[in-house]
Amino acid sequence: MRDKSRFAIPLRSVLSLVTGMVLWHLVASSGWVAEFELPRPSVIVEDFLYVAVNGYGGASLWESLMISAERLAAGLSSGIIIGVVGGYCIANSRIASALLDPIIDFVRCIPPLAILSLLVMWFGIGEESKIIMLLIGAMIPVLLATVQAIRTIRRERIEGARSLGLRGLGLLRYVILMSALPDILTGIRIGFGYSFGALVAAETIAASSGMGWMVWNASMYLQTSVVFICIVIIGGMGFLADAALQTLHTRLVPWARHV
Amino acid sequence: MTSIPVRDAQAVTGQPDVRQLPWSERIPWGLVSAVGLMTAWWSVTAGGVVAPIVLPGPEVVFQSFWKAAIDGYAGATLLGHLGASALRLAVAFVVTVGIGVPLGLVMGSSRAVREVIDPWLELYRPVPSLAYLGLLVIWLGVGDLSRVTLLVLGGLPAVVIGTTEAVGRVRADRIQGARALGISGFALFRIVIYGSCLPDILTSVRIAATGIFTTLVAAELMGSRIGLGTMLSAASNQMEPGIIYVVVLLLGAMGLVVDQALRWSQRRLVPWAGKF
Repeated sequence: MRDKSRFAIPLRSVLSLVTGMVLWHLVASSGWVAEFELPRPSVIVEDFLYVAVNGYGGASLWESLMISAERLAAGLSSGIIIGVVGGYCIANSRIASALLDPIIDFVRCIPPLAILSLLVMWFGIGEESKIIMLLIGAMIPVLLATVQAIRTIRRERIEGARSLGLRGLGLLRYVILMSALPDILTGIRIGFGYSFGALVAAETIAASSGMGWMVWNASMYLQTSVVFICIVIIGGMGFLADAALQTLHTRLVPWARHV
Repeated sequence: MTSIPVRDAQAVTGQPDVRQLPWSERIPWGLVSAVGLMTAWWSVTAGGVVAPIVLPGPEVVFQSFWKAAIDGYAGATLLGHLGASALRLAVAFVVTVGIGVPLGLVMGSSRAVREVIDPWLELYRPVPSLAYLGLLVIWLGVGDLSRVTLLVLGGLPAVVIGTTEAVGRVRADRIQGARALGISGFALFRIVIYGSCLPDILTSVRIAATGIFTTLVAAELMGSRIGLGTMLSAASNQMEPGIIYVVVLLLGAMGLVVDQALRWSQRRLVPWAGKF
């Protein structure tokens, strides 16, 4: 239902957006609210062009965007690798599972910014601590999903493959990986959401670059239109990345129920 | 606090789960893990392998805990900070559920409402809640109002979307059957739709609680005078590693308790979930 609406936008939705924008414009130009509280949509577009050309806070918009994207890519990719490998080991060793489950259960309950304050003590306030925080944020859902996925593979499937002579890497590649991949990809989507949230949090609190820093800095100087621009860009990043992961899901595992 | 929908391996595969040890063996191994971790912590710090500023020994953390609990730290006792944080979480949770569930039920039952609200929801949802912090400060000032609103923003999408989808999944034959028995209007809504959706709604509420909890520290970092996040930032600024560890461990324990409590109440409230 939701998926269909993404491609064919219903008339009511268009009307809703248009009405909202008109109302926004009317309220903003009525003088009830100060310019810094709610800038007109047209002002936001003008300011976007200005920021796109001149940058903000000493960095161009593109640079800020790329700094955030690089942090995210570094944390996410290492988190996925560690999560999948660790999840595979935990799923296959009953003792490792019993030893590590309580620790993972505890760590997953700590808010990312609290983890960041520990990481800052260990690694300083540089990039490492932020990237490791993103790594942890991405790793835990991927790891949990991998463990779940491997544990719920039907035993007949593995035994059947074995009796047909498949073993070792072939078994891993064609049976275990292919059976677990749909769930792992779902875990990656969830992990992306967590580490993206953690990225914005870390950049807001403890950085002097990136989109999270920019949105917070702009609000301190009451540059409300820049705040709106950043929110739209951050939302666009999140939307595009999630859409890409969804596409990956349908391409890689077309047989799995689309989640 | 990361929530992944947990499936019982036995329920999925129809086979007893031989890939996990039975609980009677898992618990001792868990104890081994906890004791091993504590021993490693103690020996590393007592042996002087790492600087106390990076990793204080367990006894230092315990002393910090004791000091914060009795004398207080950063303007309040540990219990005071904990209570302030818990109150914010509770208020945000009630507001999130109070707005999210009715909105989701209406969006799920009325196509017109859904189509009107959906585009706005799709615009707001992919943005991490912290990105709204700047706007909230401009609109609501630096206070508990904007803190709680931030927490609500962190939890709301999960409830609204989860509830909307839960209503969409109610089987048509169930509604038609109830209609044939003469149930209609509000009673239909209450008995059939709400009853069928409750398990999924509670799952989305649990995911929302996760979102709210992860936002807590961030919300309390900005100009709050009391709360665990305030304690954390004060300890970071004054380089008091003992306090930092106390708060991090406490937050983890708190998240674990909230998560387990919600799972438990989910089992109690909807024992029929997944049964028919």
